[in-house]
Amino acid sequence: MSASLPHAASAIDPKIAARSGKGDHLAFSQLYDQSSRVLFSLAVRILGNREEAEEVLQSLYIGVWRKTVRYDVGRGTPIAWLLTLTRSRAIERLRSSSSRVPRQDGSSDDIPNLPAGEFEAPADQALRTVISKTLSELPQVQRQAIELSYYEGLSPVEIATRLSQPLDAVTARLRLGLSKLRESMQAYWEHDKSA
Amino acid sequence: MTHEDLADSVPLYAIGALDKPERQALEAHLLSGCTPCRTALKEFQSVAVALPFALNLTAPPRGLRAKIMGARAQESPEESGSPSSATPSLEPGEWMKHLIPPTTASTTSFGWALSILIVGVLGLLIFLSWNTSARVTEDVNKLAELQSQVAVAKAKLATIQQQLSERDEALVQTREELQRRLDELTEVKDQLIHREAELDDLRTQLMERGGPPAQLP
Repeated sequence: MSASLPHAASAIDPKIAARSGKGDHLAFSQLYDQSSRVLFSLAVRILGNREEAEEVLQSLYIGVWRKTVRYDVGRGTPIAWLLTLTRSRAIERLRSSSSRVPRQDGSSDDIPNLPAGEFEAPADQALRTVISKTLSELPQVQRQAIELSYYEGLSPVEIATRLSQPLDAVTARLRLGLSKLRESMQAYWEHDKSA
Repeated sequence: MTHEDLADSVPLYAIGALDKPERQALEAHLLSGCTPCRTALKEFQSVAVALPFALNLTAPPRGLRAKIMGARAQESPEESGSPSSATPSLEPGEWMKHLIPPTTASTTSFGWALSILIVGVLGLLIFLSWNTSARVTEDVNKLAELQSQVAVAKAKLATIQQQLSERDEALVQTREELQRRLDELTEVKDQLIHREAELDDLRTQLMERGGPPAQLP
C-alpha cells in the first residue's frame, strides 16, 4: 500500500492540516488539492446539487483558513475531520431546505463523474476498490439503510417510515451492514499497517 | 441498558444514527473506559470515513479554487490598502505642481492663465472618472468581503451551536451523576436511622433487664 504518496486524500499529513489553519499558503493549497475531490463528491451526493455543494466547500475551506474550524490531531485523521465537517454541513443544509425533494433511490449514478482511477492517488484507489467491493457484496436492504442514514442523515425511525419497515428491522440492517463492512475493512487495515 | 445493548449501539453511533438518550448512554459508557467498545468505535468510524471513497469522483469546478483563494487573499489588501494611499499623486494640486513650475505674478500672462484653467479642468475630469471607477471596484470588493464574512459568521454560529449542545449534554450527565449521588446519600441516611433505632431498642432491653446502662456508640 502506498499510503505515503503525497496526493492521496486518505493520507493527508496531519501537519498539513495543522499548518493550513496557521496561515501557511502552501499547506492550505496542498490540503485543498488532496481533499477537495472527495469532499465535493460527498457534498454533491448529499445535496444532489453542484452549486450548493460548491458553497458548502467554499465555506468550509475559508473556515479552515480563518481558523473558525480547527484540526485537532486527537480527533482522528485530517480526512476524517474534513469529511465529518462536510457531511454535517451538507446534511444541515439539506434539512433546512424545505423545498428539496430527497433522493429516493440513494444512487449517485446520475452525477457526472470521472472514470475511476483517473487523477486518483494509488492509496485512494486501493481504498475505493475495497470499500466499493464490500458495499456491493452487502444485501441491497442493508446498503440502502446505510446510504439513507449516511447520505441523507435519516434516523432509524425516519428510515423505517420512509421504507415502511419495522424499526427493529431497520436497526438490525444498519448494525449488520456496518459490522460486515468493518470485518472486510479489517483485512485492508492490517495490510495497510504492515505496508 | 446492558453492555450488550451498548456494544450493539456502537455502529449506529459511528454514523450518527442514535437518538440523544442512547447517544448519551453510550458516551457515558465509553467515558467509563470500556476498551472493547472504544476499539470498536474507532473501527466503525474508520468505516464511516471510507464510505465516500466508494462514490463516483466528481471534480470540483475550477472556479471554486479561485474563489476560495480569492476570498483568502482579500484579507491582506483590504486590511493594508486604504483609499488614501492611492490618491495623493493624483490630486489636482499635485498635478499642477508637476505640470507648471512655480512662477511669479509678473510673468503670468493671460495665455498661461488659460492653460492653467484648461489643465485644471482636464485634471478634475480625469480625477472624477478615476474616482468613480475606483469606488465601483471598491464596492464590489467590499460586497465580496461581506459575503465571505456572512459565510464565516454562519460557520461560527454552527460551531457555537454545536459547542452549546455538547455543554448541554455534559450538564445533563453531571445532573444525573449528582442525582445518583444524592440517592446514595439518602440510602446511607436511611441505614443510619435504622441503626439508631436498633441501638435504642438494645438500650431499652438492657434497662428492662436491670443492668447498668450500656455505653453504646
